[in-house]
Amino acid sequence: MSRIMFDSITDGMSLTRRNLLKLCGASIGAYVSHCLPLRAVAKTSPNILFILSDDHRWDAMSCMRHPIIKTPHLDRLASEGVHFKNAFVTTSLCSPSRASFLTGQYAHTHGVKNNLTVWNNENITFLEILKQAGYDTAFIGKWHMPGKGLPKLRGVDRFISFTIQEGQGRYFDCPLYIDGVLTERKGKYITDDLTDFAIEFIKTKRKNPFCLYLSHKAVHQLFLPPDDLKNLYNDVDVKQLLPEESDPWVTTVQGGTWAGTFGTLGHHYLNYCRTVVALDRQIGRILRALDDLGISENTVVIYAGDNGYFWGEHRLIDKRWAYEEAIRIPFIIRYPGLIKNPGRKADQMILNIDLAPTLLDLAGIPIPPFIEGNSLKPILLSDKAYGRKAWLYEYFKEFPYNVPEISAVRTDSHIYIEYGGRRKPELYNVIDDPDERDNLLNTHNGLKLKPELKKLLEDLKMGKKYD
Amino acid sequence: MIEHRIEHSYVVKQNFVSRFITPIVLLLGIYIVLHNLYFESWKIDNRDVKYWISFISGIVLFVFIGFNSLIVYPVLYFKGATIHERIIASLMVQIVWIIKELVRVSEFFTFGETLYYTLNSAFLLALSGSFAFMGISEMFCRYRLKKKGVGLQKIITPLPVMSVISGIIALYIFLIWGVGEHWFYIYVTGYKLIFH
Repeated sequence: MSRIMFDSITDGMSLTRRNLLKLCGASIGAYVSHCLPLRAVAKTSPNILFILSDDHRWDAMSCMRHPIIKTPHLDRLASEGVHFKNAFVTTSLCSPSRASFLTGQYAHTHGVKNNLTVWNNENITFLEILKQAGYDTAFIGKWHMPGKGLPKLRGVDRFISFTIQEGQGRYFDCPLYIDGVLTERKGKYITDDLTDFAIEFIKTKRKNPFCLYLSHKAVHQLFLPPDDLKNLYNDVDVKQLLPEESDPWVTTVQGGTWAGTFGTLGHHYLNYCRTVVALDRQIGRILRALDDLGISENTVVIYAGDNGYFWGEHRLIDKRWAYEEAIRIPFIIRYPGLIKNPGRKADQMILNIDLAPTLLDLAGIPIPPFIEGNSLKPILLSDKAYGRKAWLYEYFKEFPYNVPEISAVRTDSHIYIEYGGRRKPELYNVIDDPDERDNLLNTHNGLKLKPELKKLLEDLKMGKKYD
Repeated sequence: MIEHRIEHSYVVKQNFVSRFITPIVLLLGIYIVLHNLYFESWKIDNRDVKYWISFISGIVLFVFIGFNSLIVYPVLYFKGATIHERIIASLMVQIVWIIKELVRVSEFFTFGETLYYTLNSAFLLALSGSFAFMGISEMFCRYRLKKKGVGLQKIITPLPVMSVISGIIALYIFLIWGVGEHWFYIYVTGYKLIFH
């Protein structure tokens, strides 16, 4: 999308991306000045802890009735907060999704279109805005957006991350850049190590509220669990857990090798489950630390995944495609100080771009106009709150991954998908056919629905909102 | 690899169909059977049966694509096939596999991107591995003849040795060096330079 329209900012003017960035820069200056008086407001604002995992599917938790995985700490979060059953990503890929969480914008706006396009440090993150409003801030964990090393990220007091393996990091002995200083971490398991830093930051004595962005490498491939969990689930017959249409080598054939999953599907899947358990254990440590400090009541804890993952569904591995397994994410918000009926499951469709406006809203900070997501605060306050009707999914081609360019519109009942290249469009009823096996486009009903959905898609691409 | 023209009980030059066409037809037939067996096996209802058929057929298919030249080359050698015939036959399955993959990815890659896709490590490794196996096979065949007392040439000569060395270098670059990541990023950088 070389030209984009933002009616809300430009009153219908058409802008190039460069011009839009300039406009954003100018408006940010004015916006930040406007926020300065908020420093005093921030003193009473909640602490914020955002935990982001990598490739964690929405259903890989015991509170989603997963057949083997036990995640008592994520279950606890869900039972003490609001569990969003229909949470999605606007692009199912690490770097674009991460940039969307940070900026509240679509990939076509923030510019990180795939894992190979560079982060533009002119982008404004919610961390920067919160910092301006008086928060103590930290980014700990996976950055994984292309560029030369790590960016000089504005608005963070602590920045702990890694660049090894092209930013993917390693499960064991992963060297970290700790506030700019490269430090070896021999003998450390990455999920535990990052959690140690997170707890240290939470426990730091301070006058201001804090916002901690904790971004795990787990549970991305190579799906390596810590030593004490290596034999967990050894007695499980993994064949019975994997989808009918899968086979042991979908990890490897038809471009699957690019996902870095050489080996059998079952082997990787069990390791994935073990790695989720290891992650959950560390989330438990953080929740205990909040309890011990007596700050759980006034701390917003959000848990989310950066995208879903295929484990053989549609005979696919990895993510990227616009099918449910890849676009759905786990998303839980716990905020005892605000949520009056905890343990609720929310049905409204929410997106990764909703994180930034939600956090600003909860902190009492005005949501800047360049943010494309919506605050979820109304849903936290009431299960009857209004949800969006339709949203845009986009995937930009990333050579040599065997996935076409994709744009799709997802409503609460259907998904209509268009592809670049020769691949034909698809249309599924996600209520009646949640596994998306029957493409309706050549049916009478499908042909009837297509024009309306196609128009929705075109409108969404042009920046129109269907909230 | 020097063409040798020995005619004796161990190497009898058969006619073109016997020494070249028949083995190729057989090779492609095996490839098609294995390919279909693997790619259709997921439709089997019984999970255990499905698992084992897809598991085994997948491995056999992989080994067949990657290593068939270790069998094909010596067979054609002892059938009296020329060096060109031996090389073509030894690369036949890999080339068919690569073409099939290129047709598949052309659904979403442009023509130029599809051509560039041929430089991916999996294809290059399959091809360079085949050349290495041809080198090994050539020297093995010479050794066998020499052992039978009918070999008239040196076992180790520059060309087969070079093909083995190039295979080892390819193995290192595409698979071992940074577990394949370094080549991957060189490959992607090349893509960006050409297509962006």
